[in-house]
Amino acid sequence: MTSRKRFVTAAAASVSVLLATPALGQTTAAPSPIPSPSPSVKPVSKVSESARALALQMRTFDPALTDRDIETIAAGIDGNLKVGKAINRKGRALKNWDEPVTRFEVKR
Amino acid sequence: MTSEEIAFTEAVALGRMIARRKISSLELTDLYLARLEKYGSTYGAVVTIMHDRARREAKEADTEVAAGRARGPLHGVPYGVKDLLAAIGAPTTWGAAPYRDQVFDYDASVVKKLRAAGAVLLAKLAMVELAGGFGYNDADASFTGPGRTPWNREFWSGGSSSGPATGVAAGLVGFAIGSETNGSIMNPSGACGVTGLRPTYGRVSRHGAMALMWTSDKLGPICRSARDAETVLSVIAGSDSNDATSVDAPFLTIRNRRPKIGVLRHGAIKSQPAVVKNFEASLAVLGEYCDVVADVALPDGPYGDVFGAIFNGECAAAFRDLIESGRSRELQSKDDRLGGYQVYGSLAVDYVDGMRQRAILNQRVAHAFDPYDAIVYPNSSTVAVPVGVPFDKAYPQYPGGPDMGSPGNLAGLPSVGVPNGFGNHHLPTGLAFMGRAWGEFQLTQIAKAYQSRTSFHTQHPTLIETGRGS
Repeated sequence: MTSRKRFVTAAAASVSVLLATPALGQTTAAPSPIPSPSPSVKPVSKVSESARALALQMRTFDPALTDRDIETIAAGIDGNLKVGKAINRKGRALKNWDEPVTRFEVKR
Repeated sequence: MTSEEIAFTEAVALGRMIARRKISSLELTDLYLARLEKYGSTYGAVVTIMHDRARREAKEADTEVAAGRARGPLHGVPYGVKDLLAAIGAPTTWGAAPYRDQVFDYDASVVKKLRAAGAVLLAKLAMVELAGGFGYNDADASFTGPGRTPWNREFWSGGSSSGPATGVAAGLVGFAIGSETNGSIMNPSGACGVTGLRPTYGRVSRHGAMALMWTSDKLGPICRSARDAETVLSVIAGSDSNDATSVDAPFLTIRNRRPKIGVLRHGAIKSQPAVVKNFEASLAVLGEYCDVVADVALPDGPYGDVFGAIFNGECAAAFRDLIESGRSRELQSKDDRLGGYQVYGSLAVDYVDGMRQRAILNQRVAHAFDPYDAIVYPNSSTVAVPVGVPFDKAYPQYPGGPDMGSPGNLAGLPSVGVPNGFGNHHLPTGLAFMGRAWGEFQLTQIAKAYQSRTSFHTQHPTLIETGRGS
């Protein structure tokens, strides 16, 4: 089995837990190419169990990840979820008919 | 002119000197090759110096000049590229240890265009690993070590186009090509006190460039003047069958009227005092030849979150192989070693919602800013960050005004950064202009006029030599 297949199989349960979890832990900002004063990755004391479960699956790719690494990754995953919540607050910021940009181009 | 003066001369002036046979391209190339050898590692600016290719191209340029066949304003002018652009004759490392032996057997489209214009490729220049995609938080985020601003090597060059900005500021190249996904041209241009131009998305082909975020990656010039940046952009712009997003779009210009400039509301708040002072002085200069409208507000976001949601999905896909291989552990920055797993753990629905919000936000930005030829604001709220200090710990008291990187890059709008003075530790401060889509030359018109009234872009640092690896 490839590592990707192993990951998908192992992560499926965690993802379903993740999606069903309403409460998010304290988070950090998502990694960004912007060199900015805001921290991109930093360990936090509280992360959600669902994010931790997904983070643990990353050992499929790198078995040497430490428990501290897992906590840091989980914090980042929680941060991603927080970003998702922010761009569609309470699921009401976007309407059913708001289409995504499927091919981004700048109008002339 | 002394060799030092020649090294810091504008690219278009160098082109004129070559065309008039006051200096040969080979002499100029050898001058820059020597400076790259002498100072490149001291400032963490270089990955590979391409002696053989550079000297060969320079000789060809000189042969053509002797035969009366100069190809244009950059004929014979030596330059460098960020090491995320493929070029025959050198590895293309993307600044990252897992890719340090990666070799492509073709030239990126911008390299081909510059070659066709007679320019001479000197070097692959240093960059933040993976263009910062995995979330670095300090200067030591490249396998070549921290980039250092030539104004004071104890301070970061900015990133992720660290080598191009350092190389131009230190007079190691005639001009350089960098890339920006969100800040990677504008930020190092400010930290190094040079002129950076982020083109409209689609203006320049990315074929042969590392992908980080397909819907935001752009290539653009980093130069010693707005005039140079305009000239280089005119050479590298245009459609390319190898990049479906690239187009031939006319350059908007300002004719027979004063430029209209909007000053970003709260643009200079929570900034270092020197940044504020220099910004106010810049506005006074702009007022001499522009209609300046105060207090133009950035429409409500959330730009950063939307950018982040889209970025996460595209970055994770772009580097899926690296992440799944476990080789992230080889990256230089400890944050980068884990950051890939974090973006990998983002949700598809957030990516799609990000692209839905992007359409809405871009309309808001266009509506608010379209009356202006440029929106102006400080390029950064601080001078360069000290090497060895995490970014978030360097100047926490000066977070600055609204983030203009995310709205500008989400909408694919062009931007130009120019030096506008000096601040703490005699490090450069900068002024940023953001314009309409396809309005790059409107921005360079404004920036050229600013530079004709000021001399910050003509000042250059005194370099030191410490030897390799120090």
